[in-house]
Amino acid sequence: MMKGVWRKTHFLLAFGSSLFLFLASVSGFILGIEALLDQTKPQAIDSLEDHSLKTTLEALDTNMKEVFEISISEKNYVIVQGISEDGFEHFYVDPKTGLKINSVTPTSPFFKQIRSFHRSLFLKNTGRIIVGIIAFLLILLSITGLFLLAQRIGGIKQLFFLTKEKNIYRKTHIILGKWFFIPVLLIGFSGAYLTIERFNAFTNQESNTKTYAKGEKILDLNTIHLNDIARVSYPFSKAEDEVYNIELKDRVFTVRQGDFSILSEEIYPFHHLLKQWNYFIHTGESNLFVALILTLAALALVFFMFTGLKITSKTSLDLLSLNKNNLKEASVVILYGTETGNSYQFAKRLAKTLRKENHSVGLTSLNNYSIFPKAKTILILAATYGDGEAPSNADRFEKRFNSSAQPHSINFSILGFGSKSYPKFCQFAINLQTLLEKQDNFSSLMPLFKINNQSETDYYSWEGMVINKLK
Amino acid sequence: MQSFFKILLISFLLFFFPIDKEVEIKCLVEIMDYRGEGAYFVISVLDEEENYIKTVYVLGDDKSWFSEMKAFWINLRKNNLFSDEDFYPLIDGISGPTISGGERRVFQIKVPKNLFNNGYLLRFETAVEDKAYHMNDINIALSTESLKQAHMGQGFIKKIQFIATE
Repeated sequence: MMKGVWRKTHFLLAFGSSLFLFLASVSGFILGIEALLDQTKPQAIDSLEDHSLKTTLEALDTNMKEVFEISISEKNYVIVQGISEDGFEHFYVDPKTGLKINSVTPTSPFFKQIRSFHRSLFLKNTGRIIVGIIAFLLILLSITGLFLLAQRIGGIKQLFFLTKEKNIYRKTHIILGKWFFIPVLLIGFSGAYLTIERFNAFTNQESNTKTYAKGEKILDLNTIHLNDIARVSYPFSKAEDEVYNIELKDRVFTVRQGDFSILSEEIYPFHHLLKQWNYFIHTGESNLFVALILTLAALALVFFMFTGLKITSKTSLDLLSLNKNNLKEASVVILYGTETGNSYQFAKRLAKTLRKENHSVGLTSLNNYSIFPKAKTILILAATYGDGEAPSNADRFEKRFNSSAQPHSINFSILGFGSKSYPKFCQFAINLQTLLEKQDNFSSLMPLFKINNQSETDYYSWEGMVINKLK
Repeated sequence: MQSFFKILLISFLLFFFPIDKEVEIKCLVEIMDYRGEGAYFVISVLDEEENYIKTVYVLGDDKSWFSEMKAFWINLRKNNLFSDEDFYPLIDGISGPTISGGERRVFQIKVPKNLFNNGYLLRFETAVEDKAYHMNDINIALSTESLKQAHMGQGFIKKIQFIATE
C-alpha cells in the first residue's frame, strides 16, 4: 500500500512540475557553467584568508589617491571604488599588491538574462513564487524518490552496492538517484529558502548592537582577513562623525578614523547567516568544487526527467485507467501483480491472445481479487518487489483471497517475473503458488513457471502451454 | 600622411583651446532602510526648465531595469541612444551592482564647469523593482552653495552629501 503511495506521489510531483523543473534545471546548468568560468578569471582570489585587512588597506593607500570602498563579492573578487591616477574607477584588485587586475564591467547580458529567468522566469514576483514552489516540490521529489529507490533495491544499505537493474533507463534513473540525492535535495532546499527569504519572511529577527566609548576597544586590522569581509566603506570626509564601516559576514563595525577604535558593533540576526549559507549552497559561486557538483546536479535533473519519462510513459498512464472488463462473465481471469508495469504489459498480451482463441477473458490486478462467478481458470502474472515482497498492486491479495471463496473449482497457473541477480528470485510468485495450492477447490495446471529478466521466449513457451491446457 | 596631419591639427587645437574643465564632485548617498531588491539610480544635469542636458552617473548594471527610470529613459529614447555602444559611453560611471536598503555608497561624478553655478539643476532619479519610482528623489541647484549642504531625499534616498573640487 505505502509503496503505491510513494510511487504515485513521485509520479504526480514529477508530472506536475516537469515543465518548470526542466526550465529551471537547464538555466541552472548554464549558470553553473558561468560560476565555473568566473572562478577561472584572474580576479578570483583563491586564498582570501591569507590576506589581512591591514595589508590590503596599506597596499591600496600606496596605489590610490583616494579609496571610497572595498567590497568582496560572493565570487571571491576584491572590488575597489576610488580615485586613481586615471580618475574615478571601479575595478578588481590584487589584495596583496593593491594593483588593478581588471575594470569592473557589466556582466554579460546573456548570463544576466539566464539568471533573471532562473529566478523568476521573466515573470517578476509571479515567477518567483512559481520557482519557489518548484524548489519545494524538488525537495518532495527527492524524498519520495529516495523511499522508492530504497524499496526498489531492497533496503537503504543496498544504496552502497552496485545496481542490478537491466533496463538502461531504469538503471540510469537509479544510479543518478544514488549519486545526486543529496545535491538535488540541497538545491531544492536552498532554492525554496531563498524564495521565502526574498518575500521577507524573517523580518521579525533583530540585530544585536553594542556601542563602545572612544578608545575603549581598538579594532586590530591584522586579525581580520579578507574572507571574513563583505565590505569596507571609508569615511566620506575628515569630519569627526565620519567613520569606517567594516561589514563582516556576520557583523558590522563602525570604526573611528585615526585610531581605529570601535564605536559600535552590530551582530546580524541568524537568518542573515542562513541566507548567505543558502546562497552559497545554491550557487557555489565562491568554490569551484561546489559549483561543479551543482552544475552536474542540474544536468542530472535533466537526465532524471528524461529517464523518468521513459520509465513512466508505458506503465503509469495505463495503470491510471484500470480495466475492469467483464470480470463477472469471464471464464478465464488474468491477475497481475506489477510494480513497474512489465507484468501488466504481458498480462494484456495474454488477454489479447486468449480472446483470439475465443475465451471470455477478464483482466485485473491481484488486489482486485474477489468472487468471479463464472471463472474456471485463473492465470496469475506476478513480479516480485524488492526483497521478495508483493508489488504495490498485490499487497492485499492474500487477505482478499482468503475471504473470497470461488463458486466453481478453479484451475490455475502462475507465471513469476524476476531477475536472477536478486537473491529472492520470484519469491512472491513462489509464495502465491503455495497459497493457492493449499486451497481445496484450486488445482494447479502446471508447476510454477519463472521468467528471468522478462525473457520473451520463456513467456511464449508458457503462453503456448496455457493455450494447450485450455483447449 | 593625411592622418598624421589630422592628429597634428587636433593636438594643436587641443593645446590652444582646451576643452571645458570639469568639476569633480564626491557624493555620499545613503539609502532608506527597506528590504527587497536594490535601488537603481540615475544622476542627470537639467537646465532651468528641467530639460535634460546630460546624464553623469548610473548605478545598477541591469539595463532591462533602466526603463523604470522613466524621465531618463524618455531622454534616451528621444535621442535614440539604445544600443550598448551608444548607451554605455554616455554614462560615466556604470558601476555594477545596485545599492540595497540601509546601505551607503560613495562615488565621484564629473560635471562640465560651464554647467556649474549657472542655474543648472542636479536630479537624482531612483527606482526599486516592484516598489516605486521617484523622478525627483533629489532635485537641487548645481552650485557651490547648494552642494555644501546635506540634502534629504523624497524617495529611496535618505540623505546625500557632496564635496566639490573645482
